[in-house]
Amino acid sequence: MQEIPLEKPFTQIRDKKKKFSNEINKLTKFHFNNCTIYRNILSKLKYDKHKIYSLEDLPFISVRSFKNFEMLSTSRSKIYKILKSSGTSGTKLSQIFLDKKTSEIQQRSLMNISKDFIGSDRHPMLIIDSPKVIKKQKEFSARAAAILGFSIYAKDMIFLLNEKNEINYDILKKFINKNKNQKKIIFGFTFMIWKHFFEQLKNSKNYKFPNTLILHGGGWKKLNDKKISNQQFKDQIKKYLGIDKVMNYYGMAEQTGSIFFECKEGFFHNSNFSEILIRDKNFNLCKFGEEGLVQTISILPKSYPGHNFITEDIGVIYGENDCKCGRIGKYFKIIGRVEHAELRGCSDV
Amino acid sequence: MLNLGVAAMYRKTLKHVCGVKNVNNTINKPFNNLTIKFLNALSRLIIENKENKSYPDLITFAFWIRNSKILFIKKKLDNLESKVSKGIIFHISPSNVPLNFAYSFVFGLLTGNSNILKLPNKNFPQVKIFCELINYLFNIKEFNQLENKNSFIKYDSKITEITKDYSLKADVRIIWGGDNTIKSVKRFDTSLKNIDIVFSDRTSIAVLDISENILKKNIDFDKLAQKFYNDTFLMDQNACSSPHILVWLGKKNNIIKFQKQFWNSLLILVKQKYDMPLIASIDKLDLACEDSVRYKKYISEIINYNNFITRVLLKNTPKDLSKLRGKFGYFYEINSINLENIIGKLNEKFQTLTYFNIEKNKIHNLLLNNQKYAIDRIVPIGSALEMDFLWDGYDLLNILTRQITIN
Repeated sequence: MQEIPLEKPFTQIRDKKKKFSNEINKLTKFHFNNCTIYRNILSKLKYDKHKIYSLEDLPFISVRSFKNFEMLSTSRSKIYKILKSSGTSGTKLSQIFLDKKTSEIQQRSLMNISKDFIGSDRHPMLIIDSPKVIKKQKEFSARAAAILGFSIYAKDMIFLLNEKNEINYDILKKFINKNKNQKKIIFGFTFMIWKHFFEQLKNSKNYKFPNTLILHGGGWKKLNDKKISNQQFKDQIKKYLGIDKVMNYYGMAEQTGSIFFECKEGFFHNSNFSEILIRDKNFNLCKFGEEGLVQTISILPKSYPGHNFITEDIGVIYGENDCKCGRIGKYFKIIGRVEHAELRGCSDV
Repeated sequence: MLNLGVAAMYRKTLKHVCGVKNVNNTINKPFNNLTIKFLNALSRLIIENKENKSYPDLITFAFWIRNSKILFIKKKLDNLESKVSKGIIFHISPSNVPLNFAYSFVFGLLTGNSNILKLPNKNFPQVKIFCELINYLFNIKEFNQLENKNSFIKYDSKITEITKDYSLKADVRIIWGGDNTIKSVKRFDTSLKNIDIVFSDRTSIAVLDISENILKKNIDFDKLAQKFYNDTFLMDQNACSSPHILVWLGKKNNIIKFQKQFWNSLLILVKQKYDMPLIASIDKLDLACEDSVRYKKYISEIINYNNFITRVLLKNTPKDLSKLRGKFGYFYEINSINLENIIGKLNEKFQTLTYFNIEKNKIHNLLLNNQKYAIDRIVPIGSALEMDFLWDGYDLLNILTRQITIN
């Protein structure tokens, strides 16, 4: 049985660190025993399944492994959804194999974490995307997963864009008029909100959004060329659209569910379901305040070995248990993505 | 940008950095005194300026074109007295090696040809220094006529119209930059007599013989490590002549003893000197994960020294050794009973064999009688990156000249 209850994402749990570490040790062993590819990798990373490791000493894989290999720890017949994500660099897609159980605990985890930040009431929700992204298929994208995941908050779920990612202004007017004084949520991927919502509306004075929360995530990769920081994103949206509640979340498609929300102090928080470690180029742990590679660890993935890997993101942990927002756990920021080096050599890459 | 036509894009992107816009096509004798003098003057200018010391690649280049070296090379050209230049050479150099174009230029210049050189698009300081010096020399009266034969340009490779135009003018195209660049340039027509010299993606190997004789000697491991470092880490292990595989010959116990000291010395050096980018750690872990699956039957152990060096020890060899490619200091190691055994497993992708403690003629003979394409070049460890007029199986001096026969 799981010792960390999914109902309590930010409650102090006795011996949490120990329980979490036990859980991850158990998961590592489970995936080692049940996923051949993961076993091949971990054997070469010198994992000993009879040993109990501290969290930071457990071998971890690279997030790109989900692009290179189909990794699952259950029989293929039990897989009912395959999540595909282009989250990291390159053109190949990550493949995440979900059985019913994993999918369900991901959903519960997401619900409980977001409740702590947004509350549990349902509100009208405007999705900055086109309905085509959630077409029912066995394979679905990280974008669809996020929309479906957050749809639990939607009293009304309305898609704003057509298939060409253009705003349907009739829908927009209707949404604004219908929910004038009510609390509303605008949800979407960071770059979708910026490019297909904010940039389209910023010069028009016709649209105001009182009592609105913008909830966005999915990274800044596609906004890189525009060089927009999280702060600028907030400032601009406030300035032009009059929305002062903008909340970012950070999460890996490979670890859907154990999501990191931004608190009002501007930090991401890890819940009881996950841990975050920052490592330097030698993979030594960085101190609080030092920039390094982000490693994320989650108790949720059961049907695939996605519980412990290093990402290509660079982050900084600012502290633990003492964020002014009052939440326990580590709080951190994401600085960006690790730069792909310009190789010195003969190949013209 | 969107509404610019091809012609406007063309003008916008094409920059003449030095030399003339349109090179003349006079045929000259190879190794004529003017070119030798020019290179010697360039060499001096580079070396005399102490500020250039911070660019080791520039200094290496300067030594490579000094008088004595050029005169030595001159002797290698067969039938020099009956040879003339080919015409116009269009050089397409890789974007990530600052001075690759400079070597290509020397090949073209010394053989008496006219040259159109595509410089790397990135603003490398070495390239700037080089071009300033070239400009300075071209303005000296004596070298005026060389200016008319050379054009240094910059443009975005995506504007293929430019590549297309220059291709038509060229008697020879020298295409660096690997398979993809070659494929894209080869699409464009040339004059019928044009020849292409192409440098495709290659890989390389090091062979070290740890026989009893060497163990009795006092080996300077630091020196050996430094040489190996120069062959590999200097270019992030990405040069086609940088080894990816180390083959060890000899008794197992001796090898293990030797390896221990060798890798220790190298590790100390890498820690001191190598400015390893953060992405290297992820790339190496990622490759280790991939290899653990793809080569699970072949790998006995993967040893990682704090991400600075990764060693993949193979207990037996996969079919295509050329696929074993690391970067940023990621090496595959094979123990082999003898040299013949390993040479039999190499293919046409292998370019350079660097050796340690082996009689070089023995390797040469084995390769000459190998009956299949493998290895173009045998050099001692430490010389992998030394550029030569014999490169990648091409005898450049002879290819870039034309012989007028007489009977």
